[in-house]
Amino acid sequence: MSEAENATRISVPALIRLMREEGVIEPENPLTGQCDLFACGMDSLAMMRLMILIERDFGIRIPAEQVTRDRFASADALAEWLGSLHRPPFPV
Amino acid sequence: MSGSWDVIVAGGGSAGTAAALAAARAGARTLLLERHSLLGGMGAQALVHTFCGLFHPDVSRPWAWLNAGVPAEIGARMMEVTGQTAPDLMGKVYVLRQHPSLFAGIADELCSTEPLLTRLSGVEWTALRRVGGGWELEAAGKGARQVLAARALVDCTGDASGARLAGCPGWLLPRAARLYRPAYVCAFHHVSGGQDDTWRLNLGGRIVRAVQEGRLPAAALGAGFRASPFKGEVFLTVDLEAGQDEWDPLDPAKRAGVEAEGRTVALALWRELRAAHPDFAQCPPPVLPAQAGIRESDCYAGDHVLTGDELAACARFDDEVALAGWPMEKRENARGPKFRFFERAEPAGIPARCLRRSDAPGLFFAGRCLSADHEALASVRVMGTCMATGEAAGRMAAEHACLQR
Repeated sequence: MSEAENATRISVPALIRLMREEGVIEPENPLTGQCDLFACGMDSLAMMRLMILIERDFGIRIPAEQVTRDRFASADALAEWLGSLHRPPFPV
Repeated sequence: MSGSWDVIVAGGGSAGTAAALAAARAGARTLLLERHSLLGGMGAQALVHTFCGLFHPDVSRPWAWLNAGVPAEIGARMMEVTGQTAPDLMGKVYVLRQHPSLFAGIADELCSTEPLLTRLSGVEWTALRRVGGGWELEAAGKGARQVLAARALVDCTGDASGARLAGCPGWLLPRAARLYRPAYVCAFHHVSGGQDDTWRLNLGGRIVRAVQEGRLPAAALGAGFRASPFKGEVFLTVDLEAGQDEWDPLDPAKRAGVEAEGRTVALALWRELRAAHPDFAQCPPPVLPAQAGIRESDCYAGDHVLTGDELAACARFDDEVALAGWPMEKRENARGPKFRFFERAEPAGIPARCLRRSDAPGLFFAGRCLSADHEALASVRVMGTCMATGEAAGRMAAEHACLQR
């Protein structure tokens, strides 16, 4: 499967499931797409683990130099960014 | 320096320094033994650069000191000398960034103004016995041994060394199956860049890639950076797995292995970042710590064992002598902390019974080796709380010594 095809499998529920199952962060309440991940324990260590897990499970390569706080601020933001990485610039 | 003292404090870390200050201020002739040359323990030797546990846990309100006395005194002085006017709000906690060199300086400053307090550096105690109503201990340094006597003794070694030296392993709590992992901290200088969350995450991403591409050891995945209160300085903390379950901070061979691993990872990170990251291009080799940061070793079994459930329930006690407010920050692996928060944004009490045993009158313990279970230790081990329990134990020791006079 190509990276672009893999990237289409990245969804908000898939990211939340990955974070929960791997214990990347341990929020007190169930995570939703809008939850502020940094308020739930996200830090650079957790981000490093999550990056490795996403690349492992979804078969994509995250451009490390483009990582920002905003892109890891919530599952919604992360899914949106990861999806856009491999999306063609205009509808085809 | 042989002789008799009212109070001897073993270990000059955040707990021991506070204990010695409290005992001397209460009128006891006090001797403070430190095996290294800096006072401040983990906060000076191991470059642990945040004071946790100094503040009331309710972050919906403006910050407030949790324990008056030495913790507030040291915290306020640290704010003054680092130019900070408030702690940082990090998620659900207030934290004060501190500078290890300035912590050692503040400890010296406070100790030197106490006429009843004498400090010894480079001295390790090697034996402990009950003699009459007090304690006799042997201390060694530079090939010389001396015998010291005290009416009361405060063990602030962090390792409950006194129990083993006295030949009383029954005074110790059983070890947890998996001790909290050590951290290796070093200081990088001439680092530019924003040093905000994005900067830290971005560094994390680069480290992941460098590990995957074989330029950094896997242990570099435990690395995190935090800005010092001083521009251009950044602290690197590497949480180490330390040989998984076999980690024993009291085993000198394992300690040597962990120290060497910490240095290897820190220097590899320096080489990689200097070569690959523009913000590190001007960075000289990092300043290494005198020792790795130890989070857990042995604890005393006191008349009460403080539990994680008591802390979570914000339990209060008739005989409490200090307050705990830091969440239980459990670090059983190098992949980041697992937190157990208190159920309410309120502190919990630490009873005097956690600082003594009734079958060892005149012996007190504080800091990282007070009587707390594995989970509670994840809260009470932090420096702000160690200062508070140290101060309480020093006061209790001085009272005991006065009664013996």
